Amino acid sequence: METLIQLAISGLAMGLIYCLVAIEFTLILNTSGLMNFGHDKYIMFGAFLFGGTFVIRLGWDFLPSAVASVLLMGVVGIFIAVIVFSPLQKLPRVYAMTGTMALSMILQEATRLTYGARSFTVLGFLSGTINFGFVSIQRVYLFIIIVTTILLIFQNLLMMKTKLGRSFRAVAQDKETSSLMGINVNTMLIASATMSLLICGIIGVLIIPVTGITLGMSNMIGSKGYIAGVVGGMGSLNGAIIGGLVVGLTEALFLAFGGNPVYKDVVSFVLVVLFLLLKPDGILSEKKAAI
Amino acid sequence: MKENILQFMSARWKALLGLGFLILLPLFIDSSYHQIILNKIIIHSIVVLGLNFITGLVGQLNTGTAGMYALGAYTSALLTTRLGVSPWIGLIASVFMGILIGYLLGYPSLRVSGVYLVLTTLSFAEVVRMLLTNMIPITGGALGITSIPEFTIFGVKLGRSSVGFYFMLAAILVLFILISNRLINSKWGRAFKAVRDNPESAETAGIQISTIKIGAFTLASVFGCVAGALYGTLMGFISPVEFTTLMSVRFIMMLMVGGIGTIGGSIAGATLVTLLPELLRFMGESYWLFFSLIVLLSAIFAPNGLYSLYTFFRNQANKYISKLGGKASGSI
Repeated sequence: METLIQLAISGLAMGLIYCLVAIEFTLILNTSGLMNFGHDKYIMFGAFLFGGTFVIRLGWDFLPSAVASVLLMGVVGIFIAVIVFSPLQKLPRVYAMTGTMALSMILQEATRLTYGARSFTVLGFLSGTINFGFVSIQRVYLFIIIVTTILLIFQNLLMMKTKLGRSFRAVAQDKETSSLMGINVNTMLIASATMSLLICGIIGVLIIPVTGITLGMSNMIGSKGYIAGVVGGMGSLNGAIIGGLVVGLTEALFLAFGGNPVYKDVVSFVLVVLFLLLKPDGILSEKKAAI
Repeated sequence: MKENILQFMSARWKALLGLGFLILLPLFIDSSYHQIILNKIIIHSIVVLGLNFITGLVGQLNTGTAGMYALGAYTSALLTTRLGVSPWIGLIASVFMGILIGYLLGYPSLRVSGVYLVLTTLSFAEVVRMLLTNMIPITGGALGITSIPEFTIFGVKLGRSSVGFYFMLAAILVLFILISNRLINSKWGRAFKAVRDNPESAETAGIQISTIKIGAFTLASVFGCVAGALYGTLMGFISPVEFTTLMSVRFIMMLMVGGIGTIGGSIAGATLVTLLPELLRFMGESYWLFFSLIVLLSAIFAPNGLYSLYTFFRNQANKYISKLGGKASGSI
C-alpha cells in the first residue's frame, strides 16, 4: 500500500512535469507554427544556470537563485524569439525544424564549454522525505506537485481572463484574421517564447533532484513532453495537461503492476503509437492537427 | 554559340568523372587512418541518400536515423557473432530489418497528416538505445559487441582498412546512387516531390499520400540499416553509447549542409561533415559550437546549403560566358 501511494505521487509529479513540457512547446507552436526541437536543451540550460552559476559559483541561496535563473531564461527567450524564431517561422517546415535543432546544439555546446561535460548536483536542494505517519514521500515530488499546480492555475487564468491570453488564443486559431483585429502577431511570438523559456527554467530547477545536472538530463523528459502533446491533442493547452497526466500515471501504473523500471520509457512509446493508430487527434482535439 | 561549359558536361560525363575519382582515390591515401575516414564518408553518404527520400523529397523530418543505424548494425553483428553466419547474410538481414522498421514505425506516424513522424522517430531512437543497453543477455549491454567478422569474397578476407573493403563499399555506394537516381527520376520521385510541395493537389491527381510517405520512409530506413551493418563491420565493434540523438541530428545536418533533395548535395554534405572535424582540429572543443552556428545561419540564409552555392556559381558562370559570347559576336 505504501509503495502504491509513493508510486502514485511520483507518477503524478512526473505527469505534471510532462504537462509543463507539453505546454511550453505548445505555446510556441500555437503562435508561430514552429515545432521547437530544442526545448529539452532549454530545460537543461535552465538547470545549469540555477545549479552551476547561481548556487555553486555565486553561492546564492536556493530561492533567489531559482528566481534569478528563471528570469534570466525569460530574457534569453526574448533574444531567441527576435534573433532566431521570427526569421525561422517564415521558412518551409523542414528548414525551420533543422534551425531549431541547430539552435539546441548551439545551446548544448555553449553549456558544455562553459560548465564542462561532467555531471553534478545541487546538494541539499529539495532532498529528503516528508513523513505523513503512514507513508513517507520524497520532498521533491511534493514540491513539484505544489509548484506546477499553482503554475497551471496561473497559466489558465492568464489564458482565459486577460487580454494577453485572449490574443494568444486568437493567434493560435487564425494568424491573418487576428492581425486584422489589431493583434501584433510578432509581439505574440516574442511573448510566447518568453513564457515558454520561463516555464523551461522552472522545469529545469524542479527536476534537478530527480535527474541531477548533466548534458543529457532532459532528453527523456523532452520526448515525453512530445508524447504528452500527441496523447492530449496537438496544439491544445488543456490537452497538454491531460496528456501529461495520462503519460505520468500510465508509467506509475506500469511500475505498480511490477513492470521493470528500466522499461518504463518503452511504455510511453507504445502509448504514443497506440494513440496514433486509434485516436490520432488525441484525447482533446480542439482543432485538426494539421500543423 | 550559346553552349556553356557545364551544360557541355552532360550527366553521363559527370557520372564517369565521379566513378573515375572513386576508383583512383585510394592511390592518394597512404595511412589506414585516412582509409577508415574515407570508408566512413561512404557509409555516411549511404545514410544521407536514404534520409534524402523522406526529409529532402517528401519533407518529413526523420530524427530517428541513429535508431535505424543501430538496429541495422546490431542485426548484422548479432547474426554474425552469435550464429556465425556470413556477413553477407547479415547485410541482407539488415535490409529486411530496414523494411520492418520502415513499415512498423511509418504506418502509425505517417498515416495521419502532421508532424508526428518527428516525434515518434525521436522516441523510437531513444527506446532502441535504451533496449540495446539493457537487454544484456542478447546485446551485451553498454559493453557492446566485439570482434564482428570481416567480409570475404571468394575466400579472400577484406580487412577493415584494406583497399578491397574500400572498393566493396564504393560498389555498394554506386549501387545506392543508381537506385536513388532511378527513383528520383521516376514517377515515384515525382510523387515524392508532389506530396512535399502540395499534398492537396497531389491527392487530387490520384496519389495516395500515406503510401508515398511510408514508401519514402521505408527507403530511408533500409538505407540506414544497410549503412549500419557496414559500419559494424568497418569498426569491428559497436556499442549503444554512440547511437544517440546527436548522431541523428548530425545526419540531418549533413543533408542540410550539402543541399536538401539532391544526390550530389547528399554526398557533398556527408563528405564535408565527416571531414570537417579532422580539418578543424585547431578549434578543438568549440568545433561543434561553430558548426551548429553555421548550420543555423545556412538554414536561415541559404536553405539549400552547398548546392545553392553551386547553382549560384553556375548561374554566374553562365551569365559571364553568355556575356563574353555576346561581345565576341558583336565585335565580329
